Amino acid sequence: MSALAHYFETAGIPTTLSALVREHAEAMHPPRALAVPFELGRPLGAPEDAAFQRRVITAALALLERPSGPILEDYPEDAPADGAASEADEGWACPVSFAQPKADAPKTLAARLQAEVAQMKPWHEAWKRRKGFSGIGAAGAEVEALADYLGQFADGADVSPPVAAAQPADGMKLAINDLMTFYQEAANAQPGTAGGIQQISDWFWTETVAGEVLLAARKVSKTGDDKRVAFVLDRLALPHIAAAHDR
Amino acid sequence: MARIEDMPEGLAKHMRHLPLPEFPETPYVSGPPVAERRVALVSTAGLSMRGEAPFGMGGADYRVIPGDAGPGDIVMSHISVNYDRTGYQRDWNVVLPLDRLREMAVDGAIGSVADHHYSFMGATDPAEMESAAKDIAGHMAAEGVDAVLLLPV
Repeated sequence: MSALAHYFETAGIPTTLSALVREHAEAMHPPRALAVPFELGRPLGAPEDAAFQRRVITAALALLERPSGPILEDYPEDAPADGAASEADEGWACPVSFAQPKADAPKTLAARLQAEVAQMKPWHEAWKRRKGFSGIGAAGAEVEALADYLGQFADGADVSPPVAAAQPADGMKLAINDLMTFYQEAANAQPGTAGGIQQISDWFWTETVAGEVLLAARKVSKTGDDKRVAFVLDRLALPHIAAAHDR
Repeated sequence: MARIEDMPEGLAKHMRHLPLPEFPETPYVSGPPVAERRVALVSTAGLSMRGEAPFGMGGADYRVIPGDAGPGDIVMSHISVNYDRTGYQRDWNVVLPLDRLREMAVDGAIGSVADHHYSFMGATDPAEMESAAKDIAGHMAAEGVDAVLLLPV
């Protein structure tokens, strides 16, 4: 981001930025940066808080009126605690109670993932009704088709992503992108939802079949021929904060 | 929260060793008061219009977000999973504050909102984005943009 500021400013366009990683702004000294104490992914700090967002924007834009730079200024206000923080001590639990597979239940990951997706679907529908839309769509396929592909891949089948992508690795990444969006949006719709990265991530990686599928797919890909697919699953599917959940 | 020292170890290591372009000097362009400026947003959240090609690994290209876009028009295909997306899912303004800019234009806090905004996908060597940024700067100059708010994820 700081590099882009240099490029735009050099081309004659004045810039200001919200710097989530202060150390990077320090190293690259862009013309104007407001170092903000917010979570990665939230450059304006607080969702559903227009007044807070506006204060951050106003502070960032105000740097444009300074006579000279570079400027690196700290924004003094922490983001207000959302559900994530207030329930952090107790640990948020998804109210959907996933049934353990019975002895006669289908054992494949693909079948279990489809069952879980079906169980999450009403919450995802609730999310879409509330928002009027869903962020799913980068992969251009229904979530059931994506789940089927990912589940079968994790079961060791030779399958291709149901995605119009240049290479299987790109398709794999987009399939994971939309499946995770489905789970995050569904979790967001549930009462008492934390809404923070830690709680939803912990839940996804420790309690859902979807998390289990991605971890299994990662293992399967390590013995496969497509190194790019293996790279996606090893490096781009599992967040660092979930590394401890490898099961 | 986003101090490297507070991050999980794997992410902190990644952030510390991220190759950063070096800039011996800092350019600095002055302009009129903020209340008279035309403001554009540039995000690195990997945003594209629904139906448009999503971002791929290593992509240094950009997408145009029209000024009249709504949150349902946009999808996020950033390749990183190491940042929070739930805030964006609840309220796109936490990443791309077009509603806030529109309000500020009505209130007179800024001059106007640009007709075009832009998104990159941030998990790419920024040096590779230089030509795209120059290209965008030309389009911004053509529509009179004199303030860019850069928003990472």
